[in-house]
Amino acid sequence: MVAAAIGTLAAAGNLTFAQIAACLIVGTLSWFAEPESQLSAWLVRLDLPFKVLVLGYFCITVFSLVQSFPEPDLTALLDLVLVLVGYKLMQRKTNRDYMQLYILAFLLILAASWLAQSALFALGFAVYVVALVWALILFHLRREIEDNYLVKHEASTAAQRVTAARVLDSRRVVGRPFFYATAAAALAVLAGATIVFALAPRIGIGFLTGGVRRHGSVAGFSDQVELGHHGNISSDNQTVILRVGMPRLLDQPSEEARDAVIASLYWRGTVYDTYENGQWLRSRSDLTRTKLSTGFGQGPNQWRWVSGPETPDKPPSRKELLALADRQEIQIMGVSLPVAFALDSPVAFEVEEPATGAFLSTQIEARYSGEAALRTMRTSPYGRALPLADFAGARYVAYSIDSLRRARPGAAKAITELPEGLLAPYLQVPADLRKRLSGLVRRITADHKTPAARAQAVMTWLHRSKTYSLDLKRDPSVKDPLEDFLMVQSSGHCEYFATAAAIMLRIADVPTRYVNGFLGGEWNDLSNLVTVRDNRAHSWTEVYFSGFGWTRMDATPAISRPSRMSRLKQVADSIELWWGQWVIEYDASRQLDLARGLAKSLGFKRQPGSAFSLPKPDKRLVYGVVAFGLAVYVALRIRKRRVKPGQRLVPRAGAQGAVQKLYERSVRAVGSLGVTKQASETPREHLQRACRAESALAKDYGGIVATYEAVRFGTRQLNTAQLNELAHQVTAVEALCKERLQTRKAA
Amino acid sequence: MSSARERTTPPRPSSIHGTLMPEPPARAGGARKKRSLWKRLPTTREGVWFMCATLVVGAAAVNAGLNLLFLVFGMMLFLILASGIMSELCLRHLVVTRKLPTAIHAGTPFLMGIGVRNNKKRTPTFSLEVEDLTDERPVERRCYFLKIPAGREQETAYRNVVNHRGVHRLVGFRVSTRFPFGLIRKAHDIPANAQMLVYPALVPVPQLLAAEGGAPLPDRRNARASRSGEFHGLREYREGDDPRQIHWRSSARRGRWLVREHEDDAGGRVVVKLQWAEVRQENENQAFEQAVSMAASVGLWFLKRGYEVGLSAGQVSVGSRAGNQQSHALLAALALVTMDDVKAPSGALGTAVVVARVTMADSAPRVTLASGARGQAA
Repeated sequence: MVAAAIGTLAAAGNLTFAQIAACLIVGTLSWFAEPESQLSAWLVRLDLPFKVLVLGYFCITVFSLVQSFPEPDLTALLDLVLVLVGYKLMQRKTNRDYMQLYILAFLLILAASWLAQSALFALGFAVYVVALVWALILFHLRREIEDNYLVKHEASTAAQRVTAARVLDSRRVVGRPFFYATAAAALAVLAGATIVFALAPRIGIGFLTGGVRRHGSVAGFSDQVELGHHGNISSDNQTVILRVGMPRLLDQPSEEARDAVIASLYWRGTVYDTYENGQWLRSRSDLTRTKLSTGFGQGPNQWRWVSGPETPDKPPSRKELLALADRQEIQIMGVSLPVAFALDSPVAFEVEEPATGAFLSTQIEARYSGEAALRTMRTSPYGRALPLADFAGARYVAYSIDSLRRARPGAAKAITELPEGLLAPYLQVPADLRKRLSGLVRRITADHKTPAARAQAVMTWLHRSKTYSLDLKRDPSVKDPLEDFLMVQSSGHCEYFATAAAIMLRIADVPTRYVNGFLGGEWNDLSNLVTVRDNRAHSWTEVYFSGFGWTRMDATPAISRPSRMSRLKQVADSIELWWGQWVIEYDASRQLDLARGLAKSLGFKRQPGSAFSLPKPDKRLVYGVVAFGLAVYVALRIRKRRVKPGQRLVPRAGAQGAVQKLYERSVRAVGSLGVTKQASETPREHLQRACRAESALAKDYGGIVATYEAVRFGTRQLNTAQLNELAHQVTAVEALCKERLQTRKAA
Repeated sequence: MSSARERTTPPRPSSIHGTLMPEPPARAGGARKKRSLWKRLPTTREGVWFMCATLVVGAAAVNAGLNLLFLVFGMMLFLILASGIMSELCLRHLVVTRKLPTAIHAGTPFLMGIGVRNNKKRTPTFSLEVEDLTDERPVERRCYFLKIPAGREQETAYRNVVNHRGVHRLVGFRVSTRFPFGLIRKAHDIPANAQMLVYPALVPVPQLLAAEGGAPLPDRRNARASRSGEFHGLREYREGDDPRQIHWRSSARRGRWLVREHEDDAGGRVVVKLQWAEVRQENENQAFEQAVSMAASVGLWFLKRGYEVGLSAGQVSVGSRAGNQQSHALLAALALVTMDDVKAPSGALGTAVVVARVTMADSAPRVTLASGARGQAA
């Protein structure tokens, strides 16, 4: 059970490799540390040092909690629980220890249910439930045995408790059928838990306190990005950030063509304009603020059109923009920052109206430099929408026009038409850096007059002179990491390339901005979605070309990444998708969907209004339900009659008739042993003959004969209780005869 | 099986012939007495904690809108439900029988046998506790059955002490189980009336080996029965009777062995006379009980030594007989005798060599031996 709980937690991705390894080692050791074993005796001697260690760890945990106040880091508590589990596994002596172990395992499951996103939770949880049922039953039996069974070896000695292991090891008590039956009970519990999960009312979140669950933090999307963190791609990090459905991808003529398109998808996230001391920041100038406008859109959904100060005075119509744009149905997960990701460059966002019963909704908000953000709103029972501080993911639709491939003149204002001071943040370079890099930039761009040519020259130089590497080297004598990359090092990753391109172009008087996002993704044939994982993090540069607007330029040398998942990965990804939609995001609106589906399958149709009605009930279905109900009722009635011994055994006749029939039944039973009653025999003579053949019949059969004679030939009247008693006697005779018959057959 | 034996045992009169009057075996699946839901589902200490934890998890799930927490909440709810169903299955179709001891003396521990038959076809019953109920309350001790396989019967016994003589009513059984998880103790009360006749407590007898006149009373265990007395009548042959005493003609006529009885078997007849005496008011009950115990002990003392012993306790009297059956007769009479019975005037003592008088007293009952007389009145 403990292993299942830890496994569930590990599946939630909240245990480090070291923690998992430690748990495995301790768990394996504890297997051999059964009470009364040598290892256990050895561990008992180490009890005091263990206690001191655990106490010390407890103090450290409390200290770290106090330190992190007012937003306590609960992972410290989780670590403490793991330490306690390890301690208890090694120190199992009494029932109390086992009970504490079960409680700790339950706390781990609670933690997993709080933190888990993966469908692996279901597997771990199912194993945990089965193990829990077994553990609780065996624990109960063990305690009962120890409490109730005493053994006394000698008259002079005191009675001792029987060891539970001796009794439980006997297969007569706990055998294979026992485990099968209890496993079935555990599966029933699991099914019941699923029913409760589906039917429990979702009245909202943060009803009393708290809010949504936070996801793990992904570096690179906060207000301040330190160079060298976001692009540090790790192929191990498989956290899904986005799942995107794109109609354009379905129209591709071949898989290769689709792979090529996917590889060129730039998922734009955060945009920065200010570079200082190796960090990218936002200047938050009002001039650079993104403009979001409502208006043209299809359906009742919330539409937000993206524009900025560089948008021309006579922009293309929104209909034209939509015709040019790629539609992306985006689901964000695994990010705690509310960034509205979209393909480069977004022109509109569409958010569905919250479904009836949904208690969360999403709003699009403006940021800077053409960037948009998301905000999760909690809908109160009174209809008020209140913003939540935490972000738990969202679904929306984005429309984007590729800024590089679809670049066209007139798409943006010329530089001269821009408001004064608008480009200042995009040309900002720290003075000392400008001073040190000016010579290099002049040398690279000397022969290039136009901004586009300068940009191309810088990109070419970076591609030729620097190589892509995740194994970053850093010369501590050089203050700025960008200067180190350009002047000392020969390799770097995307952040360095993008920053270098942005700063060098700014020195060459070309406005640029720095973008963090993701590049490419993996196609899933089963769900027809592109999955973007954390290991696809990427950075690039946007350059402002007069009349063309902000255009994406990627200075990083091309890296080949697979754009297709293996079949197994596709299945796993599809399961995760289903799990996310139907478990993690299950809410009142999903409950309503389920109810509607059920009603529809039962023949109910929804009228344009609100209530369900039954205009044309499916007669076959109705008759089927009625027939099924009747069958269940009859079966229950029959069963009820069977389980009432008195009613079943006593024939429905007058008392005398009942006695007669009961007597005949007993005669038939005795006859099955070969002692058939002759017509000339009196009941008493038959009894005597039966007793000679089988002496054990004397008691019950003798009683039956006596009662029969008293009723049949005397004046004795039997009440219901006496009839029932007679019936029990008949049953006993029948059972005895059956048993004897079986014994004879066996012999 | 003993349960089958008990079923056919005819009810016996509750006066003097034995200690117990059992009734038919009780069935857990049959007409059990309904108790209130709370009484039938009392939670154990762990159960209370578990239910509290369930409520907390449920509240947390609703508050935080955490769907996986709803799953844990559902699991906890259904564990409670499964606990109720499985314990109910354990308690169904059980037949409980008493295995009654032959003699019970007040203040002396005895073993009360309990047999349970599991009449279910497939399902075994686990972790069953059976308690005897007296006046709706369980006795302090209980019987535990770890596992009763389907269609099998198991027996065990519990040790009990009844402190007062007289008739004690057992009204039924309480079968209960905490299986499977120990969260709920589910119990059914099964009516099964039985009367238990508790004999008086036995106490050490004082020095009675010397008669009032100083001559020691002989031990008659090895004494041969005399045929010198006056013919009294015929009785059934009992084991140990002298075959020479068989009345052949009557035996042949009746078809069973009959032996002669004589009026006076060489002075081996004793009458234990329980006498009321004035004692302090607050001491009266205790003094009476002590006297009853002493009378029973004295009677058994004489019976063990081969005497024919009778009893005279006011209006309650038992004719003089020897043997084991007579000890039950004496003890049964003394188990039921009341102070009013003793205060009432007694009839003739019959022929007796020795009269053992047990008289109530404040400290301890007084025991005196006197030579008997034919037809002596109290």
